[in-house]
Amino acid sequence: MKSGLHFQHPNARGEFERLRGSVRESLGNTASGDVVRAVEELEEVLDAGVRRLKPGLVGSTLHWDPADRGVSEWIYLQHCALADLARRAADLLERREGACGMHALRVTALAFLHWGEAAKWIVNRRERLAFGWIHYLMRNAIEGGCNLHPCEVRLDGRQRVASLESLFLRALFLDRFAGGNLSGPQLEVLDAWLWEWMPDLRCTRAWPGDPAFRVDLDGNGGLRRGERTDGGPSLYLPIAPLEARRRALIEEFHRGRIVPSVGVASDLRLEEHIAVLDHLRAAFEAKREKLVERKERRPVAGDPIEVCVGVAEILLRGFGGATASSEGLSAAKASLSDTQRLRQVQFASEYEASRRILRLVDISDSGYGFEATEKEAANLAVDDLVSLRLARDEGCVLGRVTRRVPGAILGHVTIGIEELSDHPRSITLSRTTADGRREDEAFIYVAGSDACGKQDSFIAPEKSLRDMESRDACIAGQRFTLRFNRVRRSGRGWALVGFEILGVEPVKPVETSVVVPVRAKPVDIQTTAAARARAGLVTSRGEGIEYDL
Amino acid sequence: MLMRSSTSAPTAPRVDFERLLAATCKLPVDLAPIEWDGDVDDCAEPDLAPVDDPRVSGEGRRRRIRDRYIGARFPGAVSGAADLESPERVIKAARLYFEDGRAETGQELLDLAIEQHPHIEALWLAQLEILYLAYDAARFSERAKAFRQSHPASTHWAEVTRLGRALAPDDKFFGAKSGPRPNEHYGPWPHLPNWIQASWDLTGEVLASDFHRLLEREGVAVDGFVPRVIGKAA
Repeated sequence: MKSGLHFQHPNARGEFERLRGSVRESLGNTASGDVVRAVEELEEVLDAGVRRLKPGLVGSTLHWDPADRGVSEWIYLQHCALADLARRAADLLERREGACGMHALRVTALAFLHWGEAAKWIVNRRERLAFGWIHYLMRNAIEGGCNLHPCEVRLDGRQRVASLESLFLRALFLDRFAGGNLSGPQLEVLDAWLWEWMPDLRCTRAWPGDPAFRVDLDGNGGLRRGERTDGGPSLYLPIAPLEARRRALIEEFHRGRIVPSVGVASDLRLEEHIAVLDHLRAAFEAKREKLVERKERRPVAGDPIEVCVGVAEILLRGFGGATASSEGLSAAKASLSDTQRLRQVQFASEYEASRRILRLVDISDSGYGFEATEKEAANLAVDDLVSLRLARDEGCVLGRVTRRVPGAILGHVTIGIEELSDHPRSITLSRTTADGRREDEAFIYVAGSDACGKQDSFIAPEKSLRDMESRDACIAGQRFTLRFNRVRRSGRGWALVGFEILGVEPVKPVETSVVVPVRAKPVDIQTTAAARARAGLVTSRGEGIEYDL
Repeated sequence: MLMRSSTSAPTAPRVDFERLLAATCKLPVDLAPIEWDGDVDDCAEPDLAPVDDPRVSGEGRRRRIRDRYIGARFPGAVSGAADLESPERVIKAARLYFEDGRAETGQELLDLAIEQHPHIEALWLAQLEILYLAYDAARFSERAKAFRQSHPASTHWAEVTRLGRALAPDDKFFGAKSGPRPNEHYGPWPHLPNWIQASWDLTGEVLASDFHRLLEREGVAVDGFVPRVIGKAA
């Protein structure tokens, strides 16, 4: 048996599964030491194979093809299966030698290790019932007094030492953050930090009085917040030491060091590290100690809703493209030449083919829940900017994808969207480039909640932030000169930027064609063609399409 | 410590996977195309390089990482360590973060700038004022003490202690409780030194309000680009 298998190869995957199956079948009549060695051999083969694939898979989750997805799902299933195998072995060995026997402890540690690993590779719905046995194993270890016993494990080819309790908490911690809010690379970063924080992943049996995470050992749930009131067996993980670790990480970044300095996570983009820092800050905030009532969700009838993704698509279609596409096209058909009609059909066909229709399943005060097939939701990921129109006669709503998790049906996904604005506006801003040319760009204006305008923002493509020059907006005969000055929030390819207004002056008569777009006004073809070009909305077949300004 | 069993019992026989497989697998599999030689050469613990390896801890690399971190952490406000050379820019960005309810981000930016230019008093003072405005007594005391050490002859120290007495009256470092405190001042404006360099006039606020009103209330702007097909013949 060689030490590694190429898991991209289906035969290798099948081979590993057969090995796993044979070990599982032989568990009952194998000596304790051999059981442990068999599980160790298996996990060593899995670790070596996954280690070869990991940099490619974790570093490029945005570009996964079906094969990558298939391999990821397979890795997830193998970690789950290995955790289950180790759990069975632990159960068997506990009966033979007690929960704190050397062999039982070893396989319990491996069960926790692989349960945690599985959380990082979730593609399909996670089997949450497994919490029951993971708690059971931990309870046994606590009762036997061996929960703090250090164990040596191997992950990504590196030897690591952690207590049983730390491995247990790592698994729960990863599971909590693997609910669709953190991407694969971000989970990898979080896990790398958790290994660094192992000495602080220690629980107390009693409520510490300070903010803490809690695990109910007699339940079937994961990590939660606050004190348990019914007196059942629980463990508490104080948050203060973790927050101190998070702050220490920030200081390391200030010194120009990435923590840890080695491993897959150290090669990931700094933006991924920063996203995890922010996510942890929110998770550690003391104000979350009190139970926050979840926003009430109102189920709806699964209406199909078109969702536009990304700044460019939203500007092109989100603000009315859906209605104009069919009505406008048919109305104009009569006046088209054959060539134009051909182009028109071609455009309509492409337009229809690329439309993204999702089913709206619930609405709350803060956002929307959708269901879709994997295919329908392809390329829709957490942190994407989206727009949707709930009814033909309503304006579009702007939102951010906050959650994407496997749905109740195999092959379906559930998408959570947080509402950013229920009445965004598109607006054209012009600027003078370094070589003296005037350039127009389209942005999305998002009004703040107060009337003073201090919370107003623009949604801008990420690339627009490279220069922070002033821009002009001509509104109602006045030219406002403004400048972006900080990013309030950001996502994949977009940023919600704050701005300051530097001045205002009346618009000179010659400039009246440079305007904020207004629907249903008479269209000047020359003006719109120029505006379209300036907004970067021209295609090679562009002369057949115009935009109302 | 529980070690891997192969380590703790080196003489123990290894599990014979081939035998196990033979017992359960009816169709033998040709392993040659799917096996590899393991981690011996290309994966020999490459990630365990010592931290003093110049590739890991080189000054240039650290500068690049710091620079990239600053750009990614404060996008739109500063683009890298070079922008920290301008105290006005840093202070303004920190003030805006504070106004957006992100005082911690503003504090981090000031921390970075102070680390880079500890001799610039304005950065320290802006940080202290924001901490005062955020009612963060513990950190105010900590930073005030650091400021005193860094700038023992500062002419602003009396003002710092005045703020300190108001925010942390029990901290003896700021002198007796009976000293003058800002909330003894009564009037429409907070008695603050404006080290955060907020504009004294309200022009910006008025313009922002006008802009908002025009776009929001009067409906001057609209839904933007609506695709519409026109023919040249039309």
